Amino acid sequence: MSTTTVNTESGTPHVAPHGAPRGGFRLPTVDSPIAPVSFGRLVRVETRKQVDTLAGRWFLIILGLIIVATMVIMQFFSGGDHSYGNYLAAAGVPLGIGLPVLGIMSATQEWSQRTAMTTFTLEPRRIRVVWAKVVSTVLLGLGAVVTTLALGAVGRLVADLRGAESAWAFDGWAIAGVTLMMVLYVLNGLAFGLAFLNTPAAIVAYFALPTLLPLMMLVSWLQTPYEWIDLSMTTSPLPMGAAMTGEQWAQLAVSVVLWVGVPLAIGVWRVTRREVK
Amino acid sequence: MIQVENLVKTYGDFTAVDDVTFTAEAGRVTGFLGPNGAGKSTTMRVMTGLTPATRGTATVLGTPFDHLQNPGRHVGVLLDASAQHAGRTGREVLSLGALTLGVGEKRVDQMLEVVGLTSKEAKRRIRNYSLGMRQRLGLAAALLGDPKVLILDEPANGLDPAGIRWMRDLLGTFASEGGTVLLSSHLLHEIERIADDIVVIGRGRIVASGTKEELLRPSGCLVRSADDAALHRALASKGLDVLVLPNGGLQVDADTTVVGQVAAGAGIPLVELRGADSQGLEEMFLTLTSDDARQETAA
Repeated sequence: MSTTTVNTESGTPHVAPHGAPRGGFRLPTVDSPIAPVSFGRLVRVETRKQVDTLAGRWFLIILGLIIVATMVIMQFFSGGDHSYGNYLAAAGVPLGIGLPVLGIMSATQEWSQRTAMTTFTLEPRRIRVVWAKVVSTVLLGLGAVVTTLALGAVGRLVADLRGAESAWAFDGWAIAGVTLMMVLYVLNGLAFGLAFLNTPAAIVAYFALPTLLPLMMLVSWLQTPYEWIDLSMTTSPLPMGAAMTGEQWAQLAVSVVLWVGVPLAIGVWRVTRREVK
Repeated sequence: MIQVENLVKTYGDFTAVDDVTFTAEAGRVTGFLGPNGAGKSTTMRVMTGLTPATRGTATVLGTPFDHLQNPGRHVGVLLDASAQHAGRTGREVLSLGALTLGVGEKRVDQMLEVVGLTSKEAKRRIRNYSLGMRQRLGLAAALLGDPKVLILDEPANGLDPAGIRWMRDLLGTFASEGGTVLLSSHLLHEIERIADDIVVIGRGRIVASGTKEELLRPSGCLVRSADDAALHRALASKGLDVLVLPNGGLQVDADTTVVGQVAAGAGIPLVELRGADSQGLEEMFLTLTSDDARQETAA
């Protein structure tokens, strides 16, 4: 074989004379070896996808502004002289309402904006994407809690500057409780998003069902079950900082299974089987 | 290489893909041609693991798609350029892809350059993109992982003539470097110019496949008569294959002598009789799919 022959004998019809690919294109190559898609990378991607859209970014900005506004409003009551825990609780209200929507959107946007097509061709093992969304949603919830702790502290510091006299009453258990509550709420949102795979339906269901639940109180024999299945009731002791009783933990567990576990299971079943169009 | 074997996909009573078998070879551009609703997109979705097959198999590089490790490094997929979040920037879409694939941010710049999107355009939200820009972005995303196989559904849609020429050059280069390209289209002229092999699908079934040269070789003859329907019956009764051409006349798989004799025997005056010339792919496409295509009334 002559040493000057360059790939003219390979038999493929498109092989161009050496050095001059057809059309004058040169496609740059990737030299790094092919490694499997790691779970860590999937989590990074899913976390980024929750905040890199115009809607996602504005949602977080507005949520932040509402919390700031809440801190300001707190200053007008009793001269702002509240414990740190009260500031946290006040900030937690808009957060608890708003943040789960990001969880919902993380699941539903794949289908409404049809990005599932890209997501699942890059990672066909869809269950891994679902778990990456679970982890990224928890991370986002934790990030929001940290932000809230900071904003709450700023609120209380302002009150201190204005001469607040009560103690900060910094309570580690209450903070742990708020954190757990927020994580459960965002998971609740994500699970609803996964179960419905449709933004309006998931959001309506997420907000409407819990508000309808207290109607159970009107029926005497439903009052006891109600105490076990209303997530907002069962999570309400968490931010108090007081030790929860065994029954309270059991009620929390049952309601979490109902509002997070069941929709998550339905969601996993649907996402892994659904045809992507 | 892409191999599809006896692929069937049904939706209830409707069979979208009916026993489809074909191979897209490495180093060649394979055109997947068919009218709308013929099953092209469904077949491509099965190939890429987005739609489960009812029966049959589809493998890419010898492996079912969902068994590939980091599939984006092996297969570039563009099935719908509009299937992107409208509120994300073009660049962000590529960055997310690069992050998933593990190829680094530099690759994003390279691919933007390859597909001819400026950095200013890449910073815009996709809602402001024309379809042509979305196709370019989609191709950039498909090429991110330096794949060996490209699966592209209607990639020329929305591209201007210069863009179509550019894409042809790009895919030609890709195949010349040993890559496998499968692209679908109903743009017959485009397929004819770019593809080496052609697979024609109609109503879920493969109606023709082979190299472009094979498929474009003339065969049989064309005949028009005073009464095509009667001639059709006469020819069919002699066991000859007859196709009714969409713009009138019949194509017969026999030489002119035989057809002339049949017509004379049946007493049908001929208007035109000639050997089939080298029909363009368009005529072949219309001929092959005229039974299968959705009826379009040419009023």
